[in-house]
Amino acid sequence: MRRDMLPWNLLGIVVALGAWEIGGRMLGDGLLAPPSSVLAAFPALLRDGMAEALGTAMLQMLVGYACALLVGIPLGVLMGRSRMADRLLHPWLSMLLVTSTAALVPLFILIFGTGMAFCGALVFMASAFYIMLTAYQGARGIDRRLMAVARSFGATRMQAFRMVLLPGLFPYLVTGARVGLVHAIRAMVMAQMFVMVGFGGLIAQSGFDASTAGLLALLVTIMLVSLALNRALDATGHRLAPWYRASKAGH
Amino acid sequence: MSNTPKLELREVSKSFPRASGAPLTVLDRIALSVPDQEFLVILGPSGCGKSTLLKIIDGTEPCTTGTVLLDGADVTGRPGTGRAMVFQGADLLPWQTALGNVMFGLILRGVPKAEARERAMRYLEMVGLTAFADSYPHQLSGGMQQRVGIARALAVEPELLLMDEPFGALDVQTRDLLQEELLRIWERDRKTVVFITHSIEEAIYLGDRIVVMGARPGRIETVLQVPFPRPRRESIRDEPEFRALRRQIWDQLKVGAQAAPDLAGAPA
Ligand SMILES: Nc1ncnc2c1ncn2[C@@H]1O[C@H](COP(=O)(O)OP(=O)(O)OP(=O)(O)O)[C@@H](O)[C@H]1O
Ligand SMILES: [Mg+2]
Repeated sequence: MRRDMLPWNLLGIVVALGAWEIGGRMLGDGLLAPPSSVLAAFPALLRDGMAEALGTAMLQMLVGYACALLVGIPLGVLMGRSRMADRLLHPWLSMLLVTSTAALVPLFILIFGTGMAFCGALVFMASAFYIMLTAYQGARGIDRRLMAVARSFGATRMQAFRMVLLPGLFPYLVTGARVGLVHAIRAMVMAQMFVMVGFGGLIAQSGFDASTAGLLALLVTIMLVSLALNRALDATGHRLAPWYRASKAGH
Repeated sequence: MSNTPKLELREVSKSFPRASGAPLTVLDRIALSVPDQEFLVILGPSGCGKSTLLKIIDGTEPCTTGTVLLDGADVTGRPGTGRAMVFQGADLLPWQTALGNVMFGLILRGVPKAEARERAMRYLEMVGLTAFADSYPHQLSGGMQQRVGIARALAVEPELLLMDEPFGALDVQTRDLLQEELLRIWERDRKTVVFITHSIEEAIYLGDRIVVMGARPGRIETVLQVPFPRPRRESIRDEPEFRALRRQIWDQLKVGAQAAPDLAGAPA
């Protein structure tokens, strides 16, 4: 199925790139640099330290994201399994989920400065609550019939948790991790743009250039990195659990 | 009458609390005694509390009053020991292979992995699924999944096998096939079985005795002995005796479904 799609996927990309090239040539580099100019902008960007900036940015992002996973998953599962925890935490989850991360920037600069802690904290705020929400929904939606099977065979609470709840949660955790990652990367770029450092800083600065080629090259780069990480997470999910896609599709 | 029955229910009642008004009485003073090695079938209209009763026997659902005795020991509200359930929809763990699913109950009971695997393979073979040991549930047909469910229950070698409409969701041919297979397995090492069904024919074909339940509140309407010898042949379905019994149960079910609540507790 996927293999059949590939030629069409490629065709779509080629057509879009072609349109971009034609449009770009008509509008000029100052408004919309065509792909050929974007490609040509890479050597200069690499000389300016784009790769290092990207590496550092990703590292900061990963720290915040890892904290978000470590906090979001257990809290979400707890909320899904305990009515008390649900009552206590749900209002907070709802509020923080809709809070605009950008609105937190001034406050976070005051608290954390403009370094690693600032970036990590913002990434955390942007991703933790999506991760928590999916874990919560997974834990709530766990098939009651399967829990009944476990009880019927005499499972203790701990056994039921380990052998039924956790594997049943797995697809939700993968989804949560993927959605969380997208939000984490976006938040990282935004945070750095606000304080004009690192990769985000490069993007912000390139906005002042005469040509948009550098800016677009940076955008394409972050898009590709984001896509690749997302794919890697999905693939890891399938490797760890071969039933994962089938059970998703079969539902 | 000196030896204790395998399973005994004493005055088991169950009511669920209702938001508005009096609690809903689902089971009304069920008394039942099942001797060792009997294949008992429970038949009754939808909603009369058959599943609830079976869960109470299994120990996963508490009863409001009454006692469940297994080999004379009180097991009320305590699941796990001596019993195993085959569920209506098979209810296999989607992330486990057929083998893993059959091993599930054994692992829970602390059987070492290697031994559990070996035992599970034996029971998979018994239900004819050796070749599918490594398949996941979504790769199996409904009938195969139900076979795995049966193997999972048999693998823990229960004293009492509980089956809640195990073939209810299957097509007619698969259903007939699995009925025969179940009889073959059961006739070889006779376990005590409590089997729930909607189908009168299934009840007569499989059972030693048939408990006919009535509804609102759920109660035992009558208990019938099935006269056919074992091993049972498929051909008994055509015998006049079979049809007469079917007719009799049918009439009984109609009475049970229509009876007023104050008939509860009428002599069986
Ligand atoms: N958890 C519950 N809370 C409230 N009422 C319940 C609950 N479980 C079952 N009931 C009620 O108990 C009655 C009997 O349910 P049960 O599932 O035991 O019936 P059944 O005889 O197995 O029906 P069927 O043949 O359709 O499977 C029904 O009226 C149902 O509404
Ligand atoms: Mg039922």
